[in-house]
Amino acid sequence: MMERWKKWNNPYLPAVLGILALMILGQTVTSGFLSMNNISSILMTTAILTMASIGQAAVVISGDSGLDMSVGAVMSLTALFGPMIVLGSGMASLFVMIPAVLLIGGCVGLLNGLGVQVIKIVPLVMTLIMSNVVNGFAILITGGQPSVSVSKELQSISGVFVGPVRYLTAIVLILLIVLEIFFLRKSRYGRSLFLVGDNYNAARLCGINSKKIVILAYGFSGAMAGLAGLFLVGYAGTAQMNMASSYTMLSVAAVVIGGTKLTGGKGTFIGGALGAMVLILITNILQALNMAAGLRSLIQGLILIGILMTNSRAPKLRQ
Amino acid sequence: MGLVFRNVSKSYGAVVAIRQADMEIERGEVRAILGGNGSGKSTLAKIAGGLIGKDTGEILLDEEKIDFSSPKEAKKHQVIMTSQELSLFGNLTVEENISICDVPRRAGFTDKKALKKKARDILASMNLESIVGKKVSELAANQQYMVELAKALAQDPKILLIDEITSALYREDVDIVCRLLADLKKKGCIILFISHRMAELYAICDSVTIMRNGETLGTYQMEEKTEDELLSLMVGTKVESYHGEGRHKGERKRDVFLKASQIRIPSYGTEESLEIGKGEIIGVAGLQGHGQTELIRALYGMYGEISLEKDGQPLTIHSPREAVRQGFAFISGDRERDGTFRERSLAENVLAVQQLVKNQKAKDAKEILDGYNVRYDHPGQLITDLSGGNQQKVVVGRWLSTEPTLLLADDPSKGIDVKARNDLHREFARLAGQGSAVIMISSDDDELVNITSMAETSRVIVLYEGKISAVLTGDAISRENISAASMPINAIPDEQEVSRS
Amino acid sequence: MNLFKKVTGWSAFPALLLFLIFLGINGVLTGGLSVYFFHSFISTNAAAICVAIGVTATILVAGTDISLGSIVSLVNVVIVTLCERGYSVSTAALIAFGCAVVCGMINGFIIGVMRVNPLLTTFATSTAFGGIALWILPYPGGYIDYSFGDWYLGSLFGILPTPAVLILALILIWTIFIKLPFGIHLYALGKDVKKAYASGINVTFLRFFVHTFAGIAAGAAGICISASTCAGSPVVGASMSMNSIAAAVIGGVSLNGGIGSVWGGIFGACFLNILISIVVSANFGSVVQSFIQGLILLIGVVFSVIAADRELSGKMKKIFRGGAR
Repeated sequence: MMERWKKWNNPYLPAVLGILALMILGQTVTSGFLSMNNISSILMTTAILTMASIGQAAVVISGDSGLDMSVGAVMSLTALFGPMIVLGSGMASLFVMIPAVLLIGGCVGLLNGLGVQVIKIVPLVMTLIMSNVVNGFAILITGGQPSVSVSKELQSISGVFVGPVRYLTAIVLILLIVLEIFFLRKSRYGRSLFLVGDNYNAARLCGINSKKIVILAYGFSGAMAGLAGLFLVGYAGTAQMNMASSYTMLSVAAVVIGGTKLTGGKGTFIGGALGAMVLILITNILQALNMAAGLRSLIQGLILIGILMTNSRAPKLRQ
Repeated sequence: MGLVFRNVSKSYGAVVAIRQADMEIERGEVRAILGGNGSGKSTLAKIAGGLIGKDTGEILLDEEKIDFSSPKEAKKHQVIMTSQELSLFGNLTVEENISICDVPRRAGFTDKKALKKKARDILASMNLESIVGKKVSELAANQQYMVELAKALAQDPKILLIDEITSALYREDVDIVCRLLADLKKKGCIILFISHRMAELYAICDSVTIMRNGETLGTYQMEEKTEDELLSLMVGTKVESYHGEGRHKGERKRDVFLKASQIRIPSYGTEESLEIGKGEIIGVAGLQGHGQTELIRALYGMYGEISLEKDGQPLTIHSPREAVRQGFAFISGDRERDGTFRERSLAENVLAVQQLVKNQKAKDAKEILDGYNVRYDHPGQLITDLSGGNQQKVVVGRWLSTEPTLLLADDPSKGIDVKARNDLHREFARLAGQGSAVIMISSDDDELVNITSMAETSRVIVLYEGKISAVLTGDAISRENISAASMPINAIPDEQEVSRS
Repeated sequence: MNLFKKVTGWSAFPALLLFLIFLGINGVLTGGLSVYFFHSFISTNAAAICVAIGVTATILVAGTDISLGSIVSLVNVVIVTLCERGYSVSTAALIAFGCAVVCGMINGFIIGVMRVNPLLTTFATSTAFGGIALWILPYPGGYIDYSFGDWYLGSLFGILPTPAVLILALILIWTIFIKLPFGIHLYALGKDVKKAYASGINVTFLRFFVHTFAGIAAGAAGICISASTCAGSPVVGASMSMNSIAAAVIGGVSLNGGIGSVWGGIFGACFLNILISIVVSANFGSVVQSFIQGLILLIGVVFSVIAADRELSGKMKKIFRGGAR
């Protein structure tokens, strides 16, 4: 009995149950909810949020209350900056765009990592301030008035691949699985990341370069956010200032819902993807109900509070 | 009469901390509780002090049931628990710490003058008035302990629970503690004293209750039992406490394996040198916080660059990573902080160094775990499912399976029971037998005497204020000599004192 | 001599010094320091100072509060909306202030009683509070009667500007609390929760109190900002949370808790804002403005963290000296 319960008590369970419940709720609230079209767009936005949450998860796993609050700012930056790269053909510029956004995001992330690890600024503060700098930089390069034309090739990522699955969804799904297995679970880096996140000091004593591992985790998060920003603009078709600012909060929430421990040392990318799906479903239902933006954000906040109160309570001081 | 524990039990989920505890203590008695780690003695003290709740049973004080829901309530009934890990705040001053549980007020506000006066009154009996006004983080370890005791005394205890004095006390401090406790006894105070240090127990306590595996086994008058008898009772099988004395091999010419001419000890700003022989075990002794830990951490590259000479070749180590690559290993007794990865499996814990740092084709995790007698179900389970001793075996397995040429051990047997400790010593001796060097710190002098007797060549070096105050070899390695060299009076020869000033 | 050491060793001293230096620079640039300047400085920055006081209180117990900016926005929106519904300004302000206190108490309840991590809690509540503000007033707009602005720009007894009175009131509440035995308990809690509990300190109450106090501070900030702009915006406080944390860090308040004082937060906020006003008066284009402000925050925090960390600052000194050779 105990064993069976343990098997069920798996970190993905709340997210999976949540997805099922939300789908049923969505269908009962609005009839067209589970239509091909809607599912397809849910999967698209989930894919973008998943990209952001993969990086966020790596930072959270790296421990010491690691959080990357600059995800949204980096996404907004690359969403503005990525499409500006224009080479001979549309396809060629797409192939330059991808490494470019990875590089931009990665650099911001590395700066975060250096601030956290070398100067020892608390991650929350470091990344929050960095997001301010990045936002300021975005205004600086665009002069405050983005006039970005998104190329056809970039927009083609939202073309239909098969059924409700569009190209981007497929790409992200493959990327997710590859990163989860070959980066997080199998690679020497991924395994070191878990150990460092679990016990920084012990990992250092084992001869693992803890500092480098954590800095790279922030760099990775930045790079993933950079890519997510490019995907976002490709999907949206137009770019605006701060268009991705809500993704910071969403990525953290996705990671938490996906069962990743905020104390570090434990977690998965796939959990983050499931968490992302839960959040997108909620947003989608609220939108379908024609709710005002403010009310939507209130409900999201309340849901997050609910999750925290059931999921992330500190143990009692008296045991 | 007095304090009575009847049928007390406590478990955390499936883990039983206290199976059954029964015990009676008279007014004016100082009772020691002796037991291995995980025997439940700290848990018992915490239950009495209101820090944790009990599952069954009752506690009676003067035939009245007591059951505190919080430390605050316990304090109202003058039941005071003190333990080093739970007592002092480094960011507050001495007087604030002493009175924190009952701040003197005037018209509701904190009365700073009364605060200082109260602290001075209590500290005067310890000859420590001068530390009033200082922050606790600025104090030496033994002074902190005194402040801790002062904090307990300030609350005018009827029942005083003292858990684990880990810092060694100077001889005069022990006298002061004895005197203060004697005063409390006169007032009819009940004192529960938990410690691993036998010498202190004999000096301070009237009687002793033995605990093993969460059960109280019996109570004896202190003078009835010898040290060995108590230890046997505690472990359950007959053991002899370490009797390494007189069995040491005489000093022999040894091949120098590693030469460290400048080992910096940051907190004292001193430098020491050390030559380490092949197959040698070096015990490092001294009062806590006199630079022992820093000595071996510096060798491990934790304080930045250190220049060494290995087999005659110069070698510079910048970080633990390079140290590991050179075949060094580091085992710490502070498992939670320096050893285990609590959220990760046994396999990951045991293979961390081999696979992730040394790139060796790792042996099977199972093989290593079995080889070091770890008791476990399967390699995928969390390390926190194991007992403290077994966790330490996992850490030892992690390092010894890499076949290190130099093993640095910082009080590796802290908080593990005698059996596991003996296993550990055997492994260390085996490693030394293969020609590797072992440097081991211990807060227990007997342990050092024991382990150094197990190797072909060995030394004990004693540190005092960041300097090596004595090097003992052969028959000179004995508890008396170590503690004599650790104590301040003998540590610095008079001439040196003179030449310094 | 002893006094000198005490002053220079004070955790808030570097921020005070920086503030005074840049005040001087600003004075030189703008042609002298006048009473008028102080008056306008305090009335524009009172909100930031109030929030910094509130957030410092929470950081001292090893917590934090990133929902204060949202609470400020909420207060602003409530005042505007109520005024437009025909309530008198003072009633509207009082009701809005009450809302802020309730918000603080909600934070305090979730963090203190439910024991959820303060960062995550206030992160979630800031979404919720911000959502309410946006729900009530989706777009910037509305106005408040100018009598509110006049009251705000006026002064008490002809000397003390109203915003200064509000700030002093906050400081007074906090100082009284600190002078009670709670003060010692609060710093103890900031250092170590487990030890604090074992010493019989009421952890739940203290956490509840500091977040409620932070709510009060945010309420005062909301009143200040509403009175100085006399207009409504659902995102008026958005940048305040982060700036206030940066201010506290610059003011020598340790994010690990237990070290620092509200004065640190106050001087940190003053310093940041004087610096920003210098940048503004330097007439960079509005496009460069926000980037520079971000850099200022970053540099300020980096330097104050390095300064507070003895080991690190020693290393830095070494590096720079080595470079000079």
